[in-house]
Amino acid sequence: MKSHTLENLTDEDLMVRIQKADHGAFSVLVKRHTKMFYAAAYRVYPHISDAEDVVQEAFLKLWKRPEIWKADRGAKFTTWFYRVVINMAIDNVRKKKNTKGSDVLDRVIDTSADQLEQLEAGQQKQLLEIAIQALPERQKIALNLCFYEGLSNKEAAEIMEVKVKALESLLMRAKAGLKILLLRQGALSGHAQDLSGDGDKQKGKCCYG
Amino acid sequence: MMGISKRGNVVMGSNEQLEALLSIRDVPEMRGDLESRILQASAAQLHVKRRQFNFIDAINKGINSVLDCVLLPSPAYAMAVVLIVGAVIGLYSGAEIEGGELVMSYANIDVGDDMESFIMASENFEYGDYL
Repeated sequence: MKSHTLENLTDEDLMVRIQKADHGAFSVLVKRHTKMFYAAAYRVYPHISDAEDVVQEAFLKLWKRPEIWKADRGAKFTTWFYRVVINMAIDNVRKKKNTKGSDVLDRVIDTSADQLEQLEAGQQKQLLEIAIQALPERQKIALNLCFYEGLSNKEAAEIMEVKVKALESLLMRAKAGLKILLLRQGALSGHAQDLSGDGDKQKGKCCYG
Repeated sequence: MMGISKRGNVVMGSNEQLEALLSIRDVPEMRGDLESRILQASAAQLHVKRRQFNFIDAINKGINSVLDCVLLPSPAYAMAVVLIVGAVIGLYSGAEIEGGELVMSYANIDVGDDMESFIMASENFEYGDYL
C-alpha cells in the first residue's frame, strides 16, 4: 500500500499492519506521533535528550513486539501509548534519581527564597518547571495529561488507570500544591504584579485557601 | 475571581494567575532527526527479522526440494496409490472366490491356535487351487 493511503488509516489500523511487520505503517505512525509523545516525555522529565531516548525506546519496543498492543481491548492507540511513554519516562526519572540524585528536585531544594526573588520575569518558566517537578509523581502526571496534553479527564484517568474522581482529586491537589510552591517562591504574586501593577495588594490576596 | 484595579489593569485571582502561569510552560523543540533515528533503528531490526525469516525459508525450500525429488509425478503417484489401496483392500477382505468350491480366506485360518498350519496353508496355496 502506498504511503499516502497509509496516512489515511487510523492508528489502530496501522497497528494491525505493524503487527504484520509493515514498516511503512510504522513509519506513518512514528511521523504522526513522535512530537506529541516527545512533549509528554519531556514534561515528565524536562531533559531533551532523555525525552527523545524515551520516545525512541518506546517506538522501537512497539516495533519489536507489536503484539503487546491488544486491539480487542478497545483502547485507543494513543491512550495506550501515552501510558507506555509516561511509564518509561517515570522509570527513567527513577533511574536517574538512583544514579545521579534528583537533579530537578535538588534544584528546588538548593534554590533559596532569596535566590528565587532575584530571578527575573523571564525565569518564571524555570520556576514553574521546578515547582511542577517538585509535585508528587501522580499529581504531576495528572496535571500534564489534563492541562498540557489536552486530554479529557476520562482519557487521563484511563491512562493513569484510576477512576475519574481519583484523577480529579489528583488534579486539585496538584494545583493546590503548585499554588503553595509558587507563592512561596514568589512566582505567583510576581506574575500578578506584572499583570495588575498592584503587586502588594495582590500579594495579600494570593493566598491559597 | 477577576476584577479591575484602580489603574484599569486586570486583577486576577489566584486560580486565574495559576492558569495563566501554567500556560507559559513550553516544551523545547526536539531535534529534527528523532523520527529518522527511530525509523533507521527499526529498519535495522527489520533487516535482522528478514534475515532470520530467510534462513527459515531456506530450510523449508530445501526440505521441499528433497521431497520433490522423492515424490513421483502426480499421475504415477495416483496410480501407485490406487494399486496399494486395492492390494490392501484385497488382503484384508480375504481371498474369497464366489461361485467356486474353494472359499479360502486367510482370515478363516485360526492363527492363534496353530501358526504352523497357517504357514503350511499359505505355502501350499497355489494358483491352481483357484481353478
